[in-house]
Amino acid sequence: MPYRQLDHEADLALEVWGANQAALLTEAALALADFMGARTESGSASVDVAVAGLDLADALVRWLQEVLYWITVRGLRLAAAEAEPGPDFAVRGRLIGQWSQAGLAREIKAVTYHGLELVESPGRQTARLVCDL
Amino acid sequence: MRTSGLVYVSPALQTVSENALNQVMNVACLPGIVGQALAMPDVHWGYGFPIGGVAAFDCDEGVISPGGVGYDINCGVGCLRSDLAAAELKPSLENLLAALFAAIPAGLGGSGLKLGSKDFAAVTREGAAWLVKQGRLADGDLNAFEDGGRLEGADQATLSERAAERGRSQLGTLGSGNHFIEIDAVETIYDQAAARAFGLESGQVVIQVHTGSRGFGYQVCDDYLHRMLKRSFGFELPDRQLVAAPLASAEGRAYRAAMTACANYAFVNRGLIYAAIREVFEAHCGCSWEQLGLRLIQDCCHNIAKFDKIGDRELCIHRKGATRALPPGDQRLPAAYRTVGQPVLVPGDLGRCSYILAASSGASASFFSACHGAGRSLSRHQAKAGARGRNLRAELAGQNIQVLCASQATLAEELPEAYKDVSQVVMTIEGAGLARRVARLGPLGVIKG
Repeated sequence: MPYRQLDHEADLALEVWGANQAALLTEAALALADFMGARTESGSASVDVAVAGLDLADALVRWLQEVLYWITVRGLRLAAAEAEPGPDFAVRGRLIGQWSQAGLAREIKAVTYHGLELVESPGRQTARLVCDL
Repeated sequence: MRTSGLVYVSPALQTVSENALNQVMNVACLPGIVGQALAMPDVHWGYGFPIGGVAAFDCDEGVISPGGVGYDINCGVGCLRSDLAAAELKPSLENLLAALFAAIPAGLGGSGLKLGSKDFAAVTREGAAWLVKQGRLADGDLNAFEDGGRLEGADQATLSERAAERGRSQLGTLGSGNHFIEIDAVETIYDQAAARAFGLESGQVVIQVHTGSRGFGYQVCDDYLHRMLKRSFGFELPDRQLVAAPLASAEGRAYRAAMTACANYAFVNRGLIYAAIREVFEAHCGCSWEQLGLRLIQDCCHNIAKFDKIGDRELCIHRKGATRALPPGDQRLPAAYRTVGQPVLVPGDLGRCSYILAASSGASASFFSACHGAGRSLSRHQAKAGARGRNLRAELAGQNIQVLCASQATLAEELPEAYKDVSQVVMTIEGAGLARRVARLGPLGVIKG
């Protein structure tokens, strides 16, 4: 998985990366699901998600808050995620997996704006984000 | 900065982290702040405001900040006293804890009382009084809640569908993280007069509860962070998480109404847990909760923005990880506490002790606020690393403290060394004249989410 947990004073700090914005958004969604024990091998359930951010960082936070909602409140377990960044920091995407009533291994209560960093380098987009546990 | 910051510390406490100090400075930059940006001795890093932060804002020129209240709106602590002696309960403590663990949902997710739309609206509007109507709390219990367990001004129209969805399924649940139910023995009495007023004596059993508004509060916080970030209110934000809206703006008024709904919900959430605790004790002991003397001493809010009159001025006082502390003589106190001051509940960590304080007259210097707990000294990540390879439950059992938890991972994050020494925290509060020690409590059994 292209993410790692950072040593941070915060509850949970993650560094996530992808080849481009779409990949970063996808990998960030899967990283949250992985941390919470909300991954599944496959599934036929899907939900469409659309968010509009004030900038790319805001779009990432809102996208991940949607992911959290579908996992923690509605019980979606993620097999895959698709994200398509649009103009004006909009993101359209799809979360794919299966529904489950089984409990999660860990809870992430919120994705925050605190210490949020986006770093762009050739062929790689990296985000560092902090979550409340 | 529009004002200076003041952090209550003492040499015995560990150094305050630079991140938390920066957050105190950030709070001091917000418009309409009155007096200094304060931090209690249990201060540690938070989101936007530091945890342990207190800041008051002018109601005309000031702001209200979701980051100054926290995600878990009206997270708080309550304490039930009893006529039971710790010595007589100890032999059956394991069974009692198991019964509490079975009766009160703990850990991730919902599985609480399921509410229809009408009842949810009533809960958010009426607060703890709703439980009296339902026969779950007694009329007399309301006196022990701050503001009688109800804040005025909740408005359903300010809540998103998601917020209501999350609130309807989680009532009466403890949650995860640092939330707990703890059975304690009163170990030491420091102030006999206040102890008598609170109904405390050495050797008796008391029960503490720590929880808040669950996913409902989180959703409201997220909703209003987004809503406020969309607007420019003409002041620079040092940190997006500290976004705030003028109290007089549409966004400020709407957040206040939504926060109030969450606060009332949290009063009901803790109230349902008090009711469940009484039922479990009744079944365990074979007599009524009244015969057991299971009276609520106090229910304290410690994540809230309260509108209080200080002198002639109406202020919006943000307390994030801080407890209201009304001193002796304050007319807002119930008659039983008016001569000694408001009980201030200060839970410690799993393995050491907790305190019940009484507010002192010096609390006027802190907008009538005191600390709320021990305060973390290690991050959850560091705590987990420290717990690796250890059997924490066995270690605590060796100290005669029984622990039941929904998640082993949570227990590792909550190891005693992850927190400051609560005794030093309360000594600092006492030294500053904000509140004084009434009783020290020692843990016998703990349920963690």
